[in-house]
Amino acid sequence: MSSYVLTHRLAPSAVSIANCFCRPVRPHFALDNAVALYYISATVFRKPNPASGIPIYLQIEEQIRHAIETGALAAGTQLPSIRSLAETLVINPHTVARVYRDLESEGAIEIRHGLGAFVAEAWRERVRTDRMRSAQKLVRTVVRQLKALGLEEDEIRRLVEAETSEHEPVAGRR
Amino acid sequence: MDTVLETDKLSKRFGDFEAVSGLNLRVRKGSICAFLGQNGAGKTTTLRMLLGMMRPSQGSGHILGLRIDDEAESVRIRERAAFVAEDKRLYDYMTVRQILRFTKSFFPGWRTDRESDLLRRLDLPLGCKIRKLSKGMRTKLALLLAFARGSEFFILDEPTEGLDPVATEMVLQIVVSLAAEGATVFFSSHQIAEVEQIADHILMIHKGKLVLDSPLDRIKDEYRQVQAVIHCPVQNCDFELDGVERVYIDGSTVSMIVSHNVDAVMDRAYKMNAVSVEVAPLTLKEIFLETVKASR
Repeated sequence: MSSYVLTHRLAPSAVSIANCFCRPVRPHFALDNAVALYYISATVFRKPNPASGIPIYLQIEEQIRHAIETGALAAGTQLPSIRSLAETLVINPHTVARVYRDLESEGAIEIRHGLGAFVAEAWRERVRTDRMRSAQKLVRTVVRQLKALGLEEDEIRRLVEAETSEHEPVAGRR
Repeated sequence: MDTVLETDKLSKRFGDFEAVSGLNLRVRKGSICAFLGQNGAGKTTTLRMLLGMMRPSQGSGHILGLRIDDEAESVRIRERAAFVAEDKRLYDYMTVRQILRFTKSFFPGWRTDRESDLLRRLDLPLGCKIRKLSKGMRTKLALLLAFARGSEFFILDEPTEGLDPVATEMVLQIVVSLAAEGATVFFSSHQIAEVEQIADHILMIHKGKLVLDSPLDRIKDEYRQVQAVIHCPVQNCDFELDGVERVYIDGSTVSMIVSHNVDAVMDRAYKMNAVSVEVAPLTLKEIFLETVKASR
């Protein structure tokens, strides 16, 4: 298996728990200047495809989640205002408002009234924990299947080691 | 007030021909609402009634709380709502500069900042006579005159018709900015792609009747094409369920347009021993074509 997709969306229960721990976020660097914000919105966000069957709000949400996961948007980064993102992507301002609302309720961003929307500090860590948990489940299943085939634990360990060292440059997503 | 435009059984008859029949439209404040329909579906007739240029045969409506068929109130509607007509007619003998000065004098809320910003972005020649402008330039000028009025409600009849892709994108961007400032935009268009890009609500009419009235997100979330392969004999009535808009049967393949309630439709298909059930999203263009076909 060269790559497997792990679900990285938080379960509703995890979201509601996470919301209890929302802390105020301090931006890592001052982004009060409009040029920097324009730069972010022009490079991080791509124009959605309105003709696809997927609603625009879902397309933008996925883009922002992905940007946070990959670190393209660091924790504490200020997101563009609703108006400026709507103008940059030429989409309905209500759509952007909905995106920010949804991402806030799942804990990916935090909205500080009068200041704007910021990438939440802890979200990336939570995503990683979540992903590790799913991976663990996957590994457990594979190991159980291999044991059922009659392989010893030692052999399985060697197989895993061989796989990981061999594919290190490819699978080197850290 | 939450509603900017509201009509109640708005109808227009020309002799035997019912151009618009019993329209109940509603446009919410702050919305970018698209008004769709084929050529001759009754869009322009509706807009003309809304703006007091034509009397309804029946029914009435309100814009910004003012009655559309009351002469005095209709004048106030036209003061407060900006309108760009389909033909973009302007005074041919004036230059761009002259018509700007002329129009400005009628509107105390004129946005000089927006005027100069749009002049620059739309690249309009100030000294040129309107007679000599190309169709695209004329459209841009008509839009500029409306956008700079500082209105709270904009009614645009095919605003991007005849514009090149760069100018179209610019106009859409301006519409987005207007909405971000809290204005409401009601526009007709045949460009489904641009409608999907900026609209949040769709009103679709066909042969003078309202056939679709829904937020765009709901359309995208709920409209589906369901295709099932069922080997036993099937009839259309087997799929008479809430949400099933249309059923096509071709041999053992049943294809359906579903506006909501997809799960129940799939359940029904499985209960009828379907060997495969596939669900695909529909684009607004497909929905448009289906709706027109369905009511033919």
